[in-house]
Amino acid sequence: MAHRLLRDAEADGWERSDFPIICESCLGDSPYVRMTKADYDKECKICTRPFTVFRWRPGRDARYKKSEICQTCSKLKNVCQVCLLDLEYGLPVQVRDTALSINSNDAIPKSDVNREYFAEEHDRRARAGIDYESSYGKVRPNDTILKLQRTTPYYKRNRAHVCSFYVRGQCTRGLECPYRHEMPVTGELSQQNIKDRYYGVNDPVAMKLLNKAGEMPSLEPPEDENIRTLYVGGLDARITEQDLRDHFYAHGEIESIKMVLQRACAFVAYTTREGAEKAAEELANKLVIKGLRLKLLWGRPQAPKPESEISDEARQQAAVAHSGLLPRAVISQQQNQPLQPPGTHDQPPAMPYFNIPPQPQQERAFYPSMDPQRMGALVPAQDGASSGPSGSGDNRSGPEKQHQGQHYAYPGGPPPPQGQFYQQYYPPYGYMPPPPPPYQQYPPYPASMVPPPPSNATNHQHPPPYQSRVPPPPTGTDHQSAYQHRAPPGSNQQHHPPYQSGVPTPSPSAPPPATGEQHHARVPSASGEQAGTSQQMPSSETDQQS
Amino acid sequence: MPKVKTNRVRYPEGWELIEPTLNELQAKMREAENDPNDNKRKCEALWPVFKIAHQKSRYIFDLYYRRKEISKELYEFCLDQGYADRNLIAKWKKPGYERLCCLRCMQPRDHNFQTTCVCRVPKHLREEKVIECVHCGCRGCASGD
Repeated sequence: MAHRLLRDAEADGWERSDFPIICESCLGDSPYVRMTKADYDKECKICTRPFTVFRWRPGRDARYKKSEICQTCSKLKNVCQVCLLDLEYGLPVQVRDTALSINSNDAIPKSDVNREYFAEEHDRRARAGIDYESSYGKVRPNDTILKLQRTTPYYKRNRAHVCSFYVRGQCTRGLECPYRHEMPVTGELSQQNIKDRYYGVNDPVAMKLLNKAGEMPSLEPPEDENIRTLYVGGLDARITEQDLRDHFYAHGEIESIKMVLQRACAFVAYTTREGAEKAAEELANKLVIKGLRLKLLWGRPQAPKPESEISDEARQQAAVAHSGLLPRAVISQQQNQPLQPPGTHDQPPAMPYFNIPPQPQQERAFYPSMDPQRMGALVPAQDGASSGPSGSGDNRSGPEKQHQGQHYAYPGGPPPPQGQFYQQYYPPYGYMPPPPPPYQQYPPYPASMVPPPPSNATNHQHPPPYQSRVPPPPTGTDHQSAYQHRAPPGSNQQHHPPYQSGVPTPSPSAPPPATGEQHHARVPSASGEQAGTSQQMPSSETDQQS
Repeated sequence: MPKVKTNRVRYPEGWELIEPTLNELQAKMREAENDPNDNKRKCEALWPVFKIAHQKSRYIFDLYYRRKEISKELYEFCLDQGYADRNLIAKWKKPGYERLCCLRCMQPRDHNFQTTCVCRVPKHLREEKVIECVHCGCRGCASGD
């Protein structure tokens, strides 16, 4: 289209409008907004048709924003004209489409004249009042999207752009420079393309968001059959016991509700296990009381006081098992309880919440930074103490393999296989393609995998990595040794099957840091990024990738 | 050829006193017009021109209205010859515009939403304290500050 001359406003299909279709964040926080309207001022960035450009300043500390795409294009995808995020949820097109399983892409042609024609047709129909199906209004929001959505407006995106002269050190404007004098944030997310974002393909922000969504724990019943308690986190002063009761009574008879306001959590115990499971299943990601989204996890047996329902025996057993003081054999026996794959990791993750208050005995809360070994320091008392991270790195490969064999519902956790992009794909989260990890792992790791009882795989996906490293001998020693495990390199291999099971336990410390790390671990790709948190995870992962 | 009437400039008395300053200012102006605008922004390159124009007008305005050192005749002469901007001085006589930087900054028709340039806003009412107006590089020409 060489020259765009407006011969006839109506027929040409140039768009005119009275007010932009924009989201709250783009409109700004100020109730006073002055907007300029310029007919046919610019070309739509997607369909390249001229349209009415609105320009305004969304707030005092904001730059001027203007509409970038035409209204036709924005209505086709139900996105804001400026930021190209969904109008209802504030999510990128790709995320919304995946989450709601909408596929709007096929119908929209992407090239040249085809695209313009389509847009014009669409526009014409809309103006004529012909009802094209706008499916966006009819789609019911599902949990995923409700969790992912942005609830409050995000004004940071309205800030001024980064001063490129400042980045080079050449900004002569100094104080009066209207651009931000900060270093730009570079990374994968910086390479965004408006067309990609609009059509919902290959959008880095969307990928990141989807990965995060994928790793949200699905609430599976824990291995210990005695656990009938659910942990509810994120409480507020407004939420009363009665509220909890109201929400939970429908699924089963509540035995007790204990609220720990100090930790903003509560424990709901059912008389029956089934009741608890039912509640967990139904409320897992849907628990919203008084507008406050609450986190729901299974209660952990070892958690001290707050847990009222866990049987003492189970607790003791777990406690003992984790002390690392028992011979491997015993521990492995204990661990041979049916551990179910995905989600049981919520035990580890739950740890940080529960265990933080009462830490004392047995040094349970062993944070990675407390581990002298981690940073490579030599701790004379322990054998094989030498190599800190590096040593452990070697170990990892061996031990890791074992875990690969197990069924990972929670593949994201430990060394995602081969550092492929799969590492980003955490447990099938509804729409996500079920991660092939378990299968992928088999090829590379033929041998030893199968023997290790699946039980082990489970909740200790985190612990597994650690455990593997635990050198054969140490289990017997103190719990510090659990960390030293890194030292003995290949020796792990042989010992695997037997001690694998044993291993999960030896480190009650492992879980806390594991869990702590787990959270970190999941998000970034398994590369040195995690170095900050725990060495154990990352190195294993990096190994995997190699 | 018919007789071409030329206007020969007749300088009124008192001219010798102000002539050197005016010449200096003219020279500055020429320099500003000719300088290579290397690392400046497009609008920034014009700022010195406005600044010097303001200076020249200010000089003559001060001489006549404030210090009263030149005669009306000389004053009018300067205005006619283009050593000062008559319209700008006309604004300076009005209350509130005593320090006006240039005529563009107070022209609502030249701005979005029919406002004035930000340099006309007093500093205590502004949010950003340090500004350079885009037209003339003025940092604040409200009468208060």
